[in-house]
Amino acid sequence: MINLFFYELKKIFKTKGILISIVIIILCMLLNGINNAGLLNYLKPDVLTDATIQNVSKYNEKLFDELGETEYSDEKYEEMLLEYNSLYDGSETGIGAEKGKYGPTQAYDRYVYGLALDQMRYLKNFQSDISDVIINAEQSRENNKNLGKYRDDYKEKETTKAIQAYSEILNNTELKLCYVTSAYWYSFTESEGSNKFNTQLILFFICCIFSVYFATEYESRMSKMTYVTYKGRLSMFAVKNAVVFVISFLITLLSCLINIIVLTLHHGGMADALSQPVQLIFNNEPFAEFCPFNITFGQYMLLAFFMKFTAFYFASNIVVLMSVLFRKSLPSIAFSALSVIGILQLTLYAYQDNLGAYEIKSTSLYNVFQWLRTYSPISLLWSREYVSSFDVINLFGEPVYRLHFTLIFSWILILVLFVINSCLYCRRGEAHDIGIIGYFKKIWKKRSIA
Amino acid sequence: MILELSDISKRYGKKEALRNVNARLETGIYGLLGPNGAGKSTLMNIVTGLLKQNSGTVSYEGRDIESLGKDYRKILGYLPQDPGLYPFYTGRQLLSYFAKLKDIKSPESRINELLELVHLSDDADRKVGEYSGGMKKRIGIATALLNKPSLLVMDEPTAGLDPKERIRFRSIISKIKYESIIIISTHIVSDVEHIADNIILMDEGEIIISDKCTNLLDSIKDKVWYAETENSRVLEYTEKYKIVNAVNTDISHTGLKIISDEKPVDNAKPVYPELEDVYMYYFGSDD
Repeated sequence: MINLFFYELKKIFKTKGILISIVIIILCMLLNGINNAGLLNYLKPDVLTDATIQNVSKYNEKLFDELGETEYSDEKYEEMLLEYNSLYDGSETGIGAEKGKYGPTQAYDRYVYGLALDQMRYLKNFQSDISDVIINAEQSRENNKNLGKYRDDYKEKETTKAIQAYSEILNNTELKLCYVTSAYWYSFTESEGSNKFNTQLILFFICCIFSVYFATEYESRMSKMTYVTYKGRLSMFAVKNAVVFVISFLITLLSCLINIIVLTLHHGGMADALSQPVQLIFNNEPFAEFCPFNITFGQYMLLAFFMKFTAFYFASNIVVLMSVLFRKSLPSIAFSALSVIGILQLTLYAYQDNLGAYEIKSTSLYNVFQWLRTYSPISLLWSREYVSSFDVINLFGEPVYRLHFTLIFSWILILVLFVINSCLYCRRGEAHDIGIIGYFKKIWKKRSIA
Repeated sequence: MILELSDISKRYGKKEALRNVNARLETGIYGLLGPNGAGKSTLMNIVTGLLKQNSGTVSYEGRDIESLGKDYRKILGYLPQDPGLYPFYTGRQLLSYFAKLKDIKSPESRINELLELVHLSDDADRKVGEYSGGMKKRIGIATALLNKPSLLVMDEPTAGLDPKERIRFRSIISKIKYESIIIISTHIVSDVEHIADNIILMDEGEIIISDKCTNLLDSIKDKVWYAETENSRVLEYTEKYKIVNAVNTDISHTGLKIISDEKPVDNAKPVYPELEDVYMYYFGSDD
């Protein structure tokens, strides 16, 4: 079986259409990575604009190297505030005249020091913010208990879970400064920047790759010969699905690695950030201040990778379903792209209005938004949204993190798709040979003649 | 080696493609003949397991092929009517791929042997997409023979081959006939005439007759005639009798080979029948 697996894998890279799709995907990922790194901003004029400020991460790194892993204390905070105030503010005249310590001029110095100070300020407020959440939850639990026989058991479990989660975070979190550029976030959160287009392109080419891979067997009429061999249909399908799994995994890995490599080359490493609790990751804004999970940023990146892979592998299985139904590349590509990118577009539309919104603009759209976040594996591409707040659902009276539920549900869906696809692939009969369109055409023709 | 077909029936909607087909096949070559729509391909597909019959059983060595599963496919070789091949593989790579599918360990020597047998050794490293129709058929035959099958099923194996390649094909099949059950479905009667031990005639989903080739020829030996007539009377004869062949003997006369239970005309002479005459006897129309 292992030998057959490698043969099948080699087949992918021998097909011209598939090779072209892979090259285009890699180019898109590279472009996306370059854009995320802000490298394209270098094309703009060199003035102290927002765009230029985003490119000062190398000055940040210099400053943070000097500060080291500074632990928060009130004294250290006051010291940094004094240093900041002493730096020349050249914002009125554009780039400051005097040479800077961290950047080319003092205006840059003031800016990067300001970012570090913002982070310190954030660390200063973090413990009180989390404590407030715990206090509110305890109050809510108390109020619920006082309702007596009218108390809501589920509400009690939910608040208890929140209290436990945030208490653990409060007790285990060491408040330290850490250098990280927000550009790293973009590589893992598909809702921001140019990632929308990039994701759609990757999904489209996944549709192309696996449609051609499965449909070639029918279009070249090889299926009749391969099905009567010793290995048989079920073994063949298992091997083909293993190839789908590996290619989906490689696409996900490439997507993440290319971003990380380009960002690291331009902005420097992020080794410090990997061991930082995810709640303390901050650059202009917090990454996930109210994340209820006691995980580091490195662990989050692994989780985000797994979520992204789940989304891509689910999409791949949809493509396989269309391929075994239609038996031809073009209709398979069309219908799978329609399904997969359709779901993505719907998710984007629902997310746009409801992401971080303070008020619900449309109840029906909000319901769609919540439904998609729970049941659609494609929503897992928005990994940050699942960890940025205490988000649970009521599962048979128990509060379950939406992230856990969606992940498990997604893999159940994938398993169901696998079973359906294997039944369709292994099915014997006329429809097997000519695909669903050919089959209905034939019935239509017979009825017309009759 | 025995392959038994017991009461095989297959229906597509209201149409009965096969109707209570029974046959017992032993080692040797079986030519499966019949007009279009007779049910030959359906029967082939059922025997190979590509299609499931509505009723009846296919047994190999006394065991239902459904229960044999992989063990049945291990001894099976199949060449479909229009074999599809991955165009991006070379001939050798294609055979290697099929060797993996057929679970053949260390297939290199077998591949070389087969390439030699089908006369493709010199083209083995060319892409299959560049092969001619005849070459594709030959590589298809090689893939079918990879696992030294005890049961070889071939659907129109010589369609598209030129006469030289058809002779080559006959020679290849003759070499293995003593080791296997070989079923060849074809319209080209001459291909099986010289190599088939047994002929199965099918029409409208049923087996009309199944017998040794020699017996079938003997059964119509008094029914094949040769008569010469004027060209102006040829149409009259074609309307009255089954005409197998019509050849101009001179500018005003035509020689006709006629299938008829009785002497059709006074000057008709009996001739020794060929398999084509058997086909026409059972399937030729009176038009």
